[in-house]
Amino acid sequence: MRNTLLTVAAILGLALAWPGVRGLGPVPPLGRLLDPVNGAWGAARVDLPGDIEGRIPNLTAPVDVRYDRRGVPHIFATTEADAIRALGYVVARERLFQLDAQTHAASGRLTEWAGSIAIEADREMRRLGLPASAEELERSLNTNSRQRAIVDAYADGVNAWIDHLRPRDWPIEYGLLGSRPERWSPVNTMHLFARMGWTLAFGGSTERTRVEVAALVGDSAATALFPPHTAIVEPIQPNGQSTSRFDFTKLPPPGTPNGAAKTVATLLPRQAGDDDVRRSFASNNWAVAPQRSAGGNALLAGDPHLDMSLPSLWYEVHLVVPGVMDVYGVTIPGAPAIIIGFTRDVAWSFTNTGADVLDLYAETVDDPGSPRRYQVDGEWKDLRVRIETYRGKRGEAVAVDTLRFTHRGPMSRSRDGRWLSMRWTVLQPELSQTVFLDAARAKTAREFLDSMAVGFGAPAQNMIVADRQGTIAIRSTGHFPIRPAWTVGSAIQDGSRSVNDWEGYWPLDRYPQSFNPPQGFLASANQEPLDPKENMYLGVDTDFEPWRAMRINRLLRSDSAVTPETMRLWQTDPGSERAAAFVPWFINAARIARARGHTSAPLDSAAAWLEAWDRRYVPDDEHAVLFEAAMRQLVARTWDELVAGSGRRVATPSSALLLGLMRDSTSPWWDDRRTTDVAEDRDAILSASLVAAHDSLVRRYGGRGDGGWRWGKVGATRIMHLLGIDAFSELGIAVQGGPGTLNPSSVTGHGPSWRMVVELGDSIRAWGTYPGGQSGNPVSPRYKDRLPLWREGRLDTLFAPRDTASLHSTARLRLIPPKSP
Amino acid sequence: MTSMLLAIAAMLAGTWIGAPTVTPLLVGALMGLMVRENPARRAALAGMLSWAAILLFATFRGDATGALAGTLGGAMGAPSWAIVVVTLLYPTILAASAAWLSHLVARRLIPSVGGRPARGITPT
Repeated sequence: MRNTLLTVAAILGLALAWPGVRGLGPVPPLGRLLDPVNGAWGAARVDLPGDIEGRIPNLTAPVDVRYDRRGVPHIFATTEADAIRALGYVVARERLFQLDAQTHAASGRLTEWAGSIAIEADREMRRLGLPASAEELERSLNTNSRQRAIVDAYADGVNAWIDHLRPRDWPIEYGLLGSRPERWSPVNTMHLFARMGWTLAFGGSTERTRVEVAALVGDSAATALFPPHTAIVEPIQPNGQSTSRFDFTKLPPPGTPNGAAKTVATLLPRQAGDDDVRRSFASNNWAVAPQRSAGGNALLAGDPHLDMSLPSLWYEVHLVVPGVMDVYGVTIPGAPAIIIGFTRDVAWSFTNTGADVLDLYAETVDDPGSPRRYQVDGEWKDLRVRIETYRGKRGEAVAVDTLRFTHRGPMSRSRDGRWLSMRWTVLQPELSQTVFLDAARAKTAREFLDSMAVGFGAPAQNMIVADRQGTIAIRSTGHFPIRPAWTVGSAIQDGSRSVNDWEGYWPLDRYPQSFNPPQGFLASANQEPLDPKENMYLGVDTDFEPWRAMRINRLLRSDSAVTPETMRLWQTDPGSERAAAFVPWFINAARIARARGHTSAPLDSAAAWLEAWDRRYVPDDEHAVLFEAAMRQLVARTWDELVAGSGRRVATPSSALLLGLMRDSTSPWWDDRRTTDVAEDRDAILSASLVAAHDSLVRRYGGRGDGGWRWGKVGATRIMHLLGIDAFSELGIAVQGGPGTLNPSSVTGHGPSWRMVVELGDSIRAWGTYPGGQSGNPVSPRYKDRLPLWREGRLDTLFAPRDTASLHSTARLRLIPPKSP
Repeated sequence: MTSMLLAIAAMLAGTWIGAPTVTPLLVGALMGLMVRENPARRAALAGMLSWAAILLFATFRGDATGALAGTLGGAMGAPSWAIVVVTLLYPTILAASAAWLSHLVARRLIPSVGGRPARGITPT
C-alpha cells in the first residue's frame, strides 16, 4: 500500500516536469523561473562591475563610460553615432525589460506576453494606426541619412548588450513572464515616440464629449459647458497682465436633448480614464530672467508630470563628443537622445500643449459591411487595407483585424454601420529622429527653439529654454492644423468633401511664443497658451485646469530675487489657488444656511473645519481631505444633468467653469434633479455637499483627529512596476501637494516624473532627481534609491564633468569595436 | 558517497548549462537504475544539495539572494523563505520521482537491477 502511494506520488512528481518546461496557464515555466543559475535568481547580481569591457558592432572608436556615485553614466565618445551606440548599450544594460515592455505596448503586441487578456489594449494601439505610422516612418528614412544612422546606431548598442547576455543575465521579469528578450529593431524608437504621442496628444474625446453632452442637454448647453477658451486667463504667451483675468460668462440652462447625437456618440473614440485623471497628466516649467534672479543669471525649472512607474520613465545620462556635443539630462529608454536637460550653453524643459490636433470625418463608403472604397468630391478612392494579426505566447494567432485607412488616417466603424476616419498629427510621420541631438548643439535659446521647430511635429510641447547670455524663451512647438474657416475642431466633419480637410499647419510666427518678456519670467503649466482675445483655436478648455499656472505666476510675480533654492521649493509648493477660490464659497454657503435657519451641527462643524484650513496640502494636514470630498460632492450634484441612463457622468466641465457658475446663485444647473419638490440654489448645493462630504469621511476614516484624515495618508500616491506587481512597486507615498497644486499628487500614480533646476551663469549649475532609480532590477539598491529625495522635494546636484579626469567614477565601462574576423 | 558526489556534480553541471528540469530527471533516473539502496532519497538529496550549493555560492559571492527572495516572495504573495524552499523542492521532487519510478520499472523488468531492496522505500 505504501509503495503504491509512493508510486502515485512519484508519477505526480514527474508530472511537475511539464509546467517546469512549458508553464501552465499564467504560470511561467517553473524550471526557468527557479533555476538558481540561469533563472530569476540571476537578478540577485545587482552591482555594476567596477571595470568591464564591452564590444559594439560598427563602433568606430573606443568609448569610455564612467559611472558616478549616483549611477549616472558619463559617455565620452569621438563621434555622435558612437555616443548613441554607447547610449543604447548602457540603457539596455539597466533597463532592458523596460525597453521591451514599452515596445510591446506601443506596437500592440502585449498579447504575446499576456495572451488574449491584453487584446483590447493591443487593439486600441493598432486601430489608432500607431504601429502602422511608426513602421511607415521607419521605412521613409533614407538609407544614407543621418536619421537612419542614429536609429541604427542605437539599435547596435542595445543589441550588443542583448547578444552577449546569457539567460542568467535576463531581467527577472522575463522569468515571471516565461519570455525572453527580443532584439531591438530601429522601428522600436518610432513606436516609442508614437506611444508618447498617444499619451500626450490623444484628444479623441473632444468630439465625443461635445456629442455626448449634447445628447443630454442640447447643443447650446454642450457648447457652453465645453468652450474653446478658458474662463481663467493666464496664458503662456504673456499678455501684459499682472494678474489672472476672469472671463466668466453666464451659462445657458440645460436644453432639449439632441437625440441624433446619442447615436453618433457610440462611434467616437474615448480617452482612457475619467476626466480628473486625464487632467492630472500635466507638467510645470518656468524660467527667470537675470534681472529677477538673485545671482544675476537666468534660471530654469522643469518637472514633467506623467504616469510614474518603476523603473522610471526617465534614465539620467551625460553624453560628451568633444567639439560636437556635451549634453546632460534624462532620456527615455528607446530614444536616441536626451529629451530634457542642459548643455554648456542652454537648458530646457517641456510641458504638454494639449492642443486639439485630432479631427474626425464621417466617410461615405461603397459597402458599409466591408468597404473597399470611400467617396471624396464625387469620386471613389481605394481604401488602404492592413491586416493586423495578434499573436499569443507561443506565436499562435489569437485574433485578426482588418484595418482600413483613408488619406486622412485610420477608419473605424460603429455598430450602425457608419464609418469615421481620423486625422491626427501624431500619425503624420514628420518627427525627425535627430531633432533632440540637433537642438543639443544650440548655443542660444533661439537656436534651440528654431532647431526644435524644424523637426518636431507632435505631440505639441511648450518648450521653455534659457541660455547663458541671459535669454529666456518659450514656444509651443508642434503641428497645429489650419482648418477651413467653416469647420470647428471639436465637431465631426463631412469626409465626402475635400474642402473640409486641413489646409496645412500653422506657420512658426503664429506659434504661441515669447522671448525675454518685460515681466522677466515665463511659465507654463498646461494652461491655454494664448489669450482668448487672440481668437485662435488650439483646443477646448477642459483638457487642463489653470490652477497651477495661476500659482506659479503668483509666486514668480511676488519674488524679484529668485534663487535656485526658491525654484526647488516652488516645485513642491503646497499652496492651492483652487482651494483659495472655492473654500470661501463653502464657508459663505454655511453662513447663509445659518441665516436662513437651515443650519445643522454637522454643517457648522464642517464649515468651521474648512475655515480653519490654511489651504496647504502638507502630509500632516487633516483639512484638505474634507475640501476634496466636498468638491467631489459639489461636482456630482451640480453636473447631475450630465449623467446618462447608465448612471455614468459622460463628461465633467472644468472647475474653472464651475467657479464661474458660482457667480450665478440661481442658475438652473444648481438644481438637483433627484429632488422633485424643491429647486436648489447654489448655497443649498454647497451646504449639502459639505455635509455629505463630512459624513462620508467620518464613515470611511473615523472621526477628525484620529489620524485617518491625514492628507499624507488619504492623498498618498503610488508608483507601480511596469507589470503592476505590488512587490516591485512603491505604495502609500505621502507627498506634499494635492490636486491643482504645483506638485499634484495622485492616488493613480501620475505626478512629477523628473524635477530639474538649472542656473546658467559663467558655468552651469544644475540639480535634479526622479522618483525611482537608475537600475531596472527590482532587487538592486539603485532601483528606487532616489524615491526618498523625490518625496521630500529635495534635489541632487547634477555633475557634468568636461572630461574623465575630473570625475571620480565608481565603475567604468570600456566599449570597443568588435575584433576583426 | 561517490555516487552522491557524482550526482551532485552532474546536477550542478546540467543546471549550469541551462537544463534545470531535464537534469534532475536524468540524474534521478540514472540513480534509480544504478544505486542499490534508497535511490529516491539519494537523488532527492543530490538535487536539493546541488541547488542549495549554487544559492550559497551566489550569496557568498555577494549576490542579493535574500533581497531577491523577499522581492519574489512579495510578487507571489509568499514569505521569502518559501521561495527558497520552493526552489530547493523543485529538483528534489523531480529527481526523487524519476529515481523511484526508474528503479521500480527496472526491478520489474530486470530483477537484478538495483540489488537488494532497501526496506521501507524501495519497491519489492
